[in-house]
This record gives sequence, structure tokens and C-alpha cells, in this order.
Amino acid sequence: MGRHLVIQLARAGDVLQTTPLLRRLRQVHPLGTIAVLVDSSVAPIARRCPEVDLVLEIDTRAILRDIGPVDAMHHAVEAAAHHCAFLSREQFDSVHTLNYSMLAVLLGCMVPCNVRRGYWMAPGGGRIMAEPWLTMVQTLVQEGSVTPFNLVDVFCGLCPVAPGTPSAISYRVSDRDRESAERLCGTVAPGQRPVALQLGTRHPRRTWPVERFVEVGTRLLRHGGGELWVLGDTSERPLADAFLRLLHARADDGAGARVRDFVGSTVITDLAPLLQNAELLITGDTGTMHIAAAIGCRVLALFTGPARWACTGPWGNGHCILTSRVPCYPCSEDDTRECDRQCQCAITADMVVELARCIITNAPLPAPRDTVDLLRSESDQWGIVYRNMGSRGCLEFQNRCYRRMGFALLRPGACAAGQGPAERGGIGTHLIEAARAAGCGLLHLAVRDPFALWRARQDARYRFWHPWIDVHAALRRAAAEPAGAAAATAMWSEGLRAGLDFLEEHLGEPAEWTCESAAV
Amino acid sequence: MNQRNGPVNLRLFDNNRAVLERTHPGVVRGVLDAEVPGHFSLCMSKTGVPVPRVGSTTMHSTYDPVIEAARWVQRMLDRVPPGDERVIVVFGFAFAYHLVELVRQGFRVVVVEPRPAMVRFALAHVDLREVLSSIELVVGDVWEDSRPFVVWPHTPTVKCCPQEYARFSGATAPRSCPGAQAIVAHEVKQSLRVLVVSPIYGGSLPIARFAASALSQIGHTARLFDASMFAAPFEQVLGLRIEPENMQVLQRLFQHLISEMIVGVCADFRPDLVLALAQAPLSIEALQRIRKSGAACACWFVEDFRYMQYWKQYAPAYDCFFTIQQEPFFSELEQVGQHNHRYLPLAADPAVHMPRDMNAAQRAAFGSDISFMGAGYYNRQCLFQGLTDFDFRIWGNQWDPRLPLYAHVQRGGARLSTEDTVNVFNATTVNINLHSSACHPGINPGGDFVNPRTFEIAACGAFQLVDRRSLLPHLFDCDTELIVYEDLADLREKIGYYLKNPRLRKEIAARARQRVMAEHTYTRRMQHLIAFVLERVPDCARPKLQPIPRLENIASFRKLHPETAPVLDAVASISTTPDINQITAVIQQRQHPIGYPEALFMLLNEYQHLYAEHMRP
Repeated sequence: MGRHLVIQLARAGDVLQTTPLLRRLRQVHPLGTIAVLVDSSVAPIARRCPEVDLVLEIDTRAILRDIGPVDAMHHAVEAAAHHCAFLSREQFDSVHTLNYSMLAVLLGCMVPCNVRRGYWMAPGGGRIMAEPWLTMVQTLVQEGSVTPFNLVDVFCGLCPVAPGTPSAISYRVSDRDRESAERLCGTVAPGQRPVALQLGTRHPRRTWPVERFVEVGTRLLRHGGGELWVLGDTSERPLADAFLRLLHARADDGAGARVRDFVGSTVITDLAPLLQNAELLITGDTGTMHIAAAIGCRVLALFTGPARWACTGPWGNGHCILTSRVPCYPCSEDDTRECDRQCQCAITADMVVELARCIITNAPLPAPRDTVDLLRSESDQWGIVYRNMGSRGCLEFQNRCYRRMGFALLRPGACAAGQGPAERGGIGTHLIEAARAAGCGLLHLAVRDPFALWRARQDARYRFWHPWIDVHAALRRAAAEPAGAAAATAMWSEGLRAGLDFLEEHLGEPAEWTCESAAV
Repeated sequence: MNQRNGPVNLRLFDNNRAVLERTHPGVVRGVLDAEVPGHFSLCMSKTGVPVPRVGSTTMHSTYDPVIEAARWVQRMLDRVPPGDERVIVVFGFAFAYHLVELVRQGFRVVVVEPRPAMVRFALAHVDLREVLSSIELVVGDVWEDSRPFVVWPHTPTVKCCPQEYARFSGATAPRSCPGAQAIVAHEVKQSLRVLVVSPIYGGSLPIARFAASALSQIGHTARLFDASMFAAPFEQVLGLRIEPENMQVLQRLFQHLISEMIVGVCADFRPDLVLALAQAPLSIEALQRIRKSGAACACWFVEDFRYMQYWKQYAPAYDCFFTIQQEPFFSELEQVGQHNHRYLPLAADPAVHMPRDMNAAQRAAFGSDISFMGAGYYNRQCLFQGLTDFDFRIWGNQWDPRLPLYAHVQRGGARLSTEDTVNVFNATTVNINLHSSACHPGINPGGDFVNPRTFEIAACGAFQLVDRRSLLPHLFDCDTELIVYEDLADLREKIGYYLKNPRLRKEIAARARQRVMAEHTYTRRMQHLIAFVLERVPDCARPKLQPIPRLENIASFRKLHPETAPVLDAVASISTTPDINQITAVIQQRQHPIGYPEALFMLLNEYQHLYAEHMRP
């Protein structure tokens, strides 16, 4: 029973990645009301999640836009209140805030509620508090390649259920959506299923070059009988125009006639029914990718620039990701350094075409090239992992270790019973930060030098160099702290034990982790 | 029936609907099917009539919409008079108070409303029977009609629908009455604030000045950041005898300093658009920060992309990129991720480049049978050696004093002021125009773009012979408006011919001037530039962020917002006119859980931080 609110103010893909958490909440509160607070632009996506009883919308861009140009403070307050006051009139039993952002946390504060999960504001508003689980994930995410958790796993961790409980993205395609899509694309004949291309992303460095898409499109059209569908919103119109112009110039054999241009003529809810007809979607890290994954359309995702496959890769089994091994990948969206787009250039049209054909014909995947990683999504008992189809480097091993430890902390009952989130957050944050401070140097070392772990095995001083070993020291210190920390201490000890067991178990198999395979 | 915050008068709605069905059967379905969105709401004016709000934008005066409407009509009549023959096209229906006034005064009115939901909202709350019977209503943003017209935008509608208005005005601008665009732009606050950034020196420096002046002429608030003030110190830097690597670092730091100054100017001027001319000293980082503040950044790349390659790094950092060349430049821009590109050729400024009556003294000082104005590029030095037997004067710098040609160079190769340039064009019988090339021994056979001199000579009503350029026929008729030469022999022959035919020269020059005045002025170019920017970056026209003012009167604020009382009571002991930082500090000192009123103030504080972050140099 009760009313439970989940605040997710990011983009369409993030809303979809939140739906497995909503499903878990529904499992735990079968008769309760599950509500979400989302940005107005993605509300149609939230409405298509069957677990959601109530969608609250807020126009986040409009809040700042309307506060800005004012001539008196009371106008600014009025502008803010105009957008937010409805939240203070709601009443919930729990609020789960999923975005580490001041805006999301402040909006969460406006909702009267006693139980706050995810991120919340410390008394006095001096800092944002987070659950230990999220703090751990944040710590790891700061090191781009040491990230073993998809965002779906991260969110689901806020509502732990028994391991092995099936999880899936929830998205319901309504009859009306289907009719709308049919009006756009007509009926697709069996055996003529198109390949869909999503050309644009929200950042140029995430966007694979348009001329490479043209090459892929041209070759798929020449060697396949189906159509090519180009997807995108109105902002991607110039990109689509360039694509079509170049493609028609190259495909002089008339193959260009089999290109369907949907860019700017669809709304977000048209995408799912359109993609249900598609054989494959080739895309960067986009909301369209998550929609495709949600409705079972296979995805070939090209992750470049700041796009991190481990966090935001397509959810579900059998999706493929191509990503570059250049040292500067992944970068940051705010990075102002000059960029020669090596990570985009490393992924060639040849690779994409070859891989697309294998996926379409269910053939074995090709071996990845030296400069590129080919990853394929598969399930484990906690969710989705991305298996490197080439050599398994140290980092992948390390990531699995982290993953094992992380989920050991999240098993039902592991969270200290009887403690409020503030207490859990307090001790957890303390421990994690201690570990981070001590282990950060080593983490950096591992990222720069993937052989570090290998060498560490040989060196008694660093036998268990792993940052989590430093948690152990922190735990000892915590034991001297006031009562109430004991349960949390026990919880972390168990997590640590699981990780260390994993290390012991796998470090005992050196043949699998040769120096060559460790090269990243 | 889904209406917001107000009882629906069903009888009123039915009566309005009946009239709409009778007068506008084509739009009825769309209007009645429209659902009034959640951000539409209703408030009452002080005079007791309903006023719609869209988000936080009130569509009519909340004091007296009727008086406001009368004043609006009067103001628009002063600024964009329709005359006897023009129909008034109003963009925006809202609750039609402004239309009632127009109808009352007997004008012929077409109303274009982009949102069917707004018409539906109005049907339920105001009596529209008379106005619907007297106007032509178009729902959407497309209006096509052959009648002469003027556009009167309803400001709040444009504010709420900037993209629709951009589409509408883009389609109607070519047929709208001259001069109206500027007034319209001002009226709808699409009178943009534009910061034009010039290079430190070079050929695009005067173009920056012309662009700034043209923007002001068409109703925008333009400010020029004249980077030429740094020319002398920059020369000092270049003159240092230091290692090339150190020189590169110094140059970067110099550019960085100027970039920071430009960001600082933006923080003060709060432009909607920053227009950088080629070689403007703006770093990529500065561009990113300016864009984050909500301003659009556009570059007018008035250089040859084949020789100046730095655009590859900079082009993706701009929202829009304007060029004086076409393919293959467009494809290469696409390759580096710049998709908002547009061909925008150079132009002339009729206030500067104009015909002048030259007296005998001026003719003696500036005149000759033939002349050339420009720098001594390699191809010019080569070709002009074949013209030394003419009465030939060369004006400009960088000419090689070792060549016999140098005897024709005037004023020791000094650069001329714009004023004197115009004198030379006017005093010369045949102006020679040869586009520069550093590698061809004469005419560049693959030359495409058209230089500013072509437009400037033409705008002066002066006669010119110009080398062949592939983009020239798009701009001028090369038989009747300009005369093109192919090589030295052709040039010599045409010089001889036109020196002997003054009447023909005069006719051709007059036609060229007419063409420039009609199509190739900087005001025209800036109109196109602004329309493109608004189409591609419509959000840049939104009101800009600014710091939140202090709280002037705690007592009255407390009365208006009783929910904030606990916070304000604590704040009152510190300051009677606290700013948002002080209020937030008090919240933090209290160490209470953050609830609705605290979060409201902290949201303002968060905004203030974002603002400061964006706008700090």
C-alpha cells in the first residue's frame, strides 16, 4: 500500500532505464500507488510504463528560464512557485530521487514525505546526501572504464529483491501508437524488415560521422532487399538532409529509393511501434536506442566521445556495442580540448556493415579489430553485463569483481535493518570516502597501466591492492565509532568478503589472464 | 471538456462554436479536437475580464486588456501602417481583445494562430461571435495569399511560439512591406541584442563594422567589439625575438585574454547573438561559455576556406556558420559536424559606398583611366605588369617595390581609409577588380567567391571590369550589370573598348548599382542571417538570465507568500533587504530539514549560481 514517488528528471533513455525499478516497487507494493516525476518532454514515455499509476510533469527548462528575466525577487519566487507548487500539495510515503542534481533533490524536498531514498538534501541544505550504494557507483563511475553497473542495475539497487528475479524495461505500445505508426510506414512485409538508422545524438562527439552512416546505408541497400529507415527529431533535420544528399549521390543504382525518411515527422511515441517492424537499429547512445531495446528490436550501438557503454548501454540480451580503445575515450561533454575524433574514426563503416549483417542473419559475430572493442550484452543473476567479444582485459575482470561485491551488498536484508536512510548514508558515505581517498591512486594506476593488477599479484605488498582492502581499514576505525554503526559495518564486511573471494578465486587462474589478453 | 482554472460557460462556447462553424468551416475540426494543455491557465484582469496565461506568460494585460488593445493598435498603426490597400495579418489570436479593436476600427484582418488549443480555450471564455464574423482566421503557421499585407505580431503569442513565428515570418518576409520587419522585430522583442566581434586586423575588419551598422538599421541592438584596438599590442607580441614555440604560446594567451574580455562584455551586454567575423579572437572555450548563457554564436567566414583552414576546429563550436563559398565547403562543414551552414555572400553599405560628384581637385587626387584598389598579391603583381602602358594607379599595401609596377603604386603603398576608397572608385574611369591568389600568375581559374570590392564599386555607381568567378552569375548579370574578363589580353581589349564608350559604362554601372541596392546590401544580408539564426536557434531570442534582485520589502513579500514566513522571520534579523545568498545562508544556519519554502529559495540560489557560472569571465 501507500504512495511512492520516483523522481527521474533526465532524458527519455533514463526514464526507460528507470522502469525496472518501478517494476520492483510494484512487486514490493502491489496495491500501492506508483508515481513518477519527469520532465514534460518525456512524459509520454513515462505514461507508457504499465507500472506507473500517476505521471507528474515538470518543465525543468522553463523553471530556470522563467526565474531568470525578472525585476523583483517576488517575481522570481512566483515564477518558481508557478512550476513547483503542485509538488507541495502531494503526499507520498516514499520519494526516490534518482538524479544527482540540485534541481531534482530540491524538487524532492518540496514533496512532503518521511522516507527518502536515492539522493536527498542534508538538513540545512548544505549538501546532497546519497545512499552508500549510489556513492559506491559514483566513485567507480569517476574512473571511466571501471564501471560495472548499467544504470538499470544502479536504480534497481534502490529496491533490492531476491537475486535472479527477472527484470525488464517496461514499455507498452498502445493501439493508438501502433495505428499512428502504421499511417507513417504502412505494413511491412515479412522478410522485408528494414534496418533503422538514428543518425544524431545530443552531442557532436557522441555522433558517428554522417558520411560513415552514408557508407553503411549504401552498402546495406545494395546487398539487402529491405528498406532503410532514417529516424530522428526536427533538430536532426540538417543531419538527415546531409545524409540523404550524400546517399543519393552515392547510390546511383536506384537503391536510394528504398530509403524512408522519418526525421521530424514522428513524435517520440511513434518510435516504438516503428522499431517493432525493424530488423535492427544502428545508433549512437540515444533515447531511440533504449526504446528499441525496450521493445525487443536488436541494437547495434556505436559508443564514442563521452558516451559510456557500461552505464547507458542497451538493456537486454544480444545487443551489440562497438567502441574505441583510444586512450582519451570516454571523454567528458564539457571537455574543451581539441578533439580529432579518433574514437569515431576507429569505428569504420566496414566493421559496422559486417557486424550488422551477422546480427541480421544470426551468424557468429566477427572478431573485433585491434582498435575497437566489440561488446555483447548478456544477463547474469543481477542484470545485464557487456561481454567483450575479443580479449578479456584486466579491467573487465576488475569490473566483474566490483560487480560481485556491489550486489553482495544489495541482497535483501543486507541493508542494515531498522536504520533510517540518513544513518545508512552517514556510515556508508564515510566508509566509501575513506576507501576512495586511500585507493584512488591505485585506481588511477590501474586505468593508466592495465598490467598493474597482474604485477600486483606478484608483489606481496600489493597482494590485495584493491581499493576495497582499504575499506577494511576504515571498518576497523568505524568499529570504534558510536553504536549504530555495527550493522552497517557488518554489511560492508560481507560485501568486502564477497569481492575478495572473487579475487582469490580468479587470481588463481593465471592462464586466463595473460599479459596479451590484458592489453587495453 | 478540458478547461483550466475556470468554469466553462457552455452557452458561450456553443454560440461561439456555431459562428466558427459558419464562418470558418475549414478550421472547426482542428480547433474542437484540440486539447487545452496543462500549462494553459486562466486569470482575471482588474477589470474583471478573463485573460489566458501560457506557462508564466500572460497573453493580455491583467489590468485592462481592452485599453491595452486600443494602445497596441495605435502603436502598430504608427509603426507599420497598412495604408489603404494592405490587409493586416495579425500573428496571434489569444482572447482576441486586440482583434476586437481592429474590427471596431474597420480594418481588414487576417489572423494566424499557430495553436488550435488557444482558439479552443478562447471559445469557452470570451464572446467571439462578432470578431469571428469579421476576420479571416488561419490556424497553423502557414499563410499564403497574393494580397499586399503587413504583419502585426501579437507579442505574447510570438514569445510563446518563437519557432512557429520564425517559420511564419520566414515565409512572409519577402512579400511583407519594406521596413516593417525591423519594427516588427522590435515589437516582438525579436529585436535581438547582437554583439559583433571583429578580427584584430585584416579584410574582414570593415565588414564587422558594416554588419554592426546594418543590424542597427534593421532594428536590432548591435554592439561592436572592435578587436582592432589590440592591433598595436599584438604587433608588439609578434615583434618579439623569441622561439617559435614560445611565440605560439604567447599568441594563444593573447587570444585567450581577448576572449575573456569578450565573455565579460557578454555578461554585461547579455547578447542574444554573438556574430564573429572570420579571424575574430574567440576561443572555443569562450564560445562554449557564451552559448551556455543562452546566446547563439554565429560566424560569418568571409575567407577562402581552401587557404584558411582553421575553420575546421572552430566551425563545430558555432551554432550557425555563414560562408561566401558553396560546395565543396558545405560537405566539409558537414564532415566536421557543422550542419547549420548557409551561403551568405558579401555586400556593400549604401551609406558608405555611394556615388559622389568629384570636383577637379578630387579627380586629380584620386582619378585615372584605370585603377586597382587592394593588396599586392602574387597574381596581381603578375597580371598588372601588362597594364603599365595605361594611365594606371594602384592603391593599397604589400606591393613589391622592386618591380617596375611599383611606379604606379600611390602614396607609397599605404592603406587607404574607407572614405578615400570610395573617392578612388568614383574618380576612376575603369576600376579593375582582380580577386587575390597567392599561387596563380593571373586569374584563378577555379575562383568561386565574390569579393567585397565587387559590391562596393557597383554601389558607388562606378564601372568595373572583374575577373571570372563561378558564383558571380548568381549575384549579377555578367552581360548587363558587370563586365567580366578572362585573361590579360581580354582585359586590355575591354579596357580600351570601355574607355572609349562612356555612355555604355554609365548604363552598366547604373544597372549594377540598382542590383546592389535591391539585393546586395549589408542590411539584406543581416536580415537573412538573423532569420536563419532564429530558425535554427529559436531559443536565443528568449529573455536572458540576469541576477535575482534583492528582496525589497520583507513584510509585503511575507504577506504575498505566507508559506515562506518561517524562513523570512529568521532572515529579517539580518537584513531588511536581503539578497538570495543571505537567505540561503540563514536556511543553512538553521539546519532544519528542507521543506517547500526553503527549497523554493534554494532553487533561486541554484539559479543564481548557474547564472554566475555562465557569465563569469
